[in-house]
Amino acid sequence: MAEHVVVLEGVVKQYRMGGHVVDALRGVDLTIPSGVMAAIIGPSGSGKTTLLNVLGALDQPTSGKVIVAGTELGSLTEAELTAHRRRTVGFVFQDYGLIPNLTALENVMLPMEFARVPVAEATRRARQRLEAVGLGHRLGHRPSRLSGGEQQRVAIARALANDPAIVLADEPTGNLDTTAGREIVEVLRRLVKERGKTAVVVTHDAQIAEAADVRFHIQDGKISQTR
Amino acid sequence: MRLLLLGVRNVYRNHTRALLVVGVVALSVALFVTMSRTGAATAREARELKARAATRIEVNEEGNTSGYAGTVTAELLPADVSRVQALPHVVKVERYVKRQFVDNRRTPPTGVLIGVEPGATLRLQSMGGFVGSPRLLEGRAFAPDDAGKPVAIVGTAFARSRGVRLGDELALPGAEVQRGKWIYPHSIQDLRARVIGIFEVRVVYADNQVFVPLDVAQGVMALGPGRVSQYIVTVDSAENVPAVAAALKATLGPAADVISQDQTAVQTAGALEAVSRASRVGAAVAAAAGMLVVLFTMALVTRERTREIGILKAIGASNRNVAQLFTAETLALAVLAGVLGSLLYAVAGRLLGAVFLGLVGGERTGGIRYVPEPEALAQGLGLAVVFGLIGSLYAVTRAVRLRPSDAMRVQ
Repeated sequence: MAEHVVVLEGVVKQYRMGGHVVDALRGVDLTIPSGVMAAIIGPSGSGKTTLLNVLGALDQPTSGKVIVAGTELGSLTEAELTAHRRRTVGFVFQDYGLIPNLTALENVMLPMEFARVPVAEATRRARQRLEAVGLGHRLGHRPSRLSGGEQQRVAIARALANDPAIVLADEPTGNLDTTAGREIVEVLRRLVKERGKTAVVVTHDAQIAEAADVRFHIQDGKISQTR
Repeated sequence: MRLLLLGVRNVYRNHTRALLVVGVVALSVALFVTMSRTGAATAREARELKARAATRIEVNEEGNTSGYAGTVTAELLPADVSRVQALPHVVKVERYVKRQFVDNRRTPPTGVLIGVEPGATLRLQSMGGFVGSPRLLEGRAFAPDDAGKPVAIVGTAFARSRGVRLGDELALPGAEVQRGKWIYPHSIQDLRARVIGIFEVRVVYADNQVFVPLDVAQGVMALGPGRVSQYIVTVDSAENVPAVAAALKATLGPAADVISQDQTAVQTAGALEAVSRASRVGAAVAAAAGMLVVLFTMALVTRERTREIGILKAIGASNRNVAQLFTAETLALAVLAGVLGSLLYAVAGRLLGAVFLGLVGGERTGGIRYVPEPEALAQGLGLAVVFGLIGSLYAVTRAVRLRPSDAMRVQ
């Protein structure tokens, strides 16, 4: 494991929107050590999600260097970027992003299906991940039969399916009430402490910001560390 | 392998839409199979008819072209047949006797009684001449040992109007035949015969015809021994037809009408070809409609699931994985429709065919049988697979081109 699981050097991301160039990230330098929970806080439109997308290889920066878990993403082919998303990072979304016609167990097995993990092993691992987030009794439930907090815990279990080095969460408590949000923060804390994962959480939530080991503030595409 | 299963399961995510799409595509598959079977059968029938007409010469007793014997002035005599058979290039001479019968109380009121040598082709007659050969729905054709026996093969209209079934004995009063014959002086006898076969061509007049062995018909019609009303002369090749026709005229003299070109057959073949063309166009339209429904459905599905495609890519799906999911879903949808469409053809193909033939004026194509033979079912399923493969192209192309970050911005 690299000492710093995330290293960004001079990362710029520009979008073209209606003939105008929008600067979403303006020369971001950032390092996040492994095994911590990092919170990135900022107002809407500040570039939080863009930063997360760049870290997760969902988007390519216009310029600059992005190194995640020791791999410089700019040098990877499309297939290698797919493999990076499959093996090195796990995503948690604000709207959970679960597949509605699959059960909790099948949703967690899906990333392992993409990674060609044998079905028996994938089933065992998915069951284990769901039990770890307290959903061992909800394996056969579809998302529509789960509460928001339960759906988000399924999403966290899915993010951990292929044992990634880093979990990227975009407003994971944004759709939840305070109690369910607190539970999610607790689950994220546990996966950092007990499993040594690195969690990078983009949020408005003061609970998460408070619980984070390191905290960054982003505004107008520029980032600064506040803790 | 599991990914393909997931793709198949996606078909059922919207039950109502799946049912609707499968139903519409199934109907297009059934129509395609019905129309392409019609097109192929009519084209084949037209080819066979033309081929037969090209080498066939019809010789009728003068004035009798269809059993409508009101103006018959002469008969073909027994000695004639051996003289005809001896002509160069003549391959075969088939002999027939035919007389119209009339009973105004029945529907249809007129029919034709035809005597045929067991083993010779059953040839239906119309007011304009030969209209084709019937195919049996039930029972059997004449066997050589049926000669001289009171057995008959009847059309469905005749069987229905007289209330006879396979195995029953039919009665055709001589008075009816006498009425159809008008001025011919012979006394006509009653016909009693057991029904050994029933045919249908779906031309009412043709379906009211009755075949009996030649010698039985000659007895009923009180014709002199060996006298017949028609020869069908088969020539060894189309090039020799004019020479043989000329020789026939010279041999038989004014006692016979020699028709070297079977105009009726040619006209019938032309009508069949028109039906065949209409059928093929109809099949193409049905296939295109089904194809469009599958394409639009999958385009809609892909748009609805744009964000989901982004999520799948974010959690590690490769473009190939996404393509597999959408291809499996489209194929499952199309094959389901293909199976249902083939079943629909098996159950209602005859009805669909009748409706279609009625629309294009193809009632004379009675030989087509819309039965669920494996070839037709394979045709339906094959079309469905093509729907699935082509229908998935848009979905797969769009899904593969989508960048995950763009896809995930869609709510």
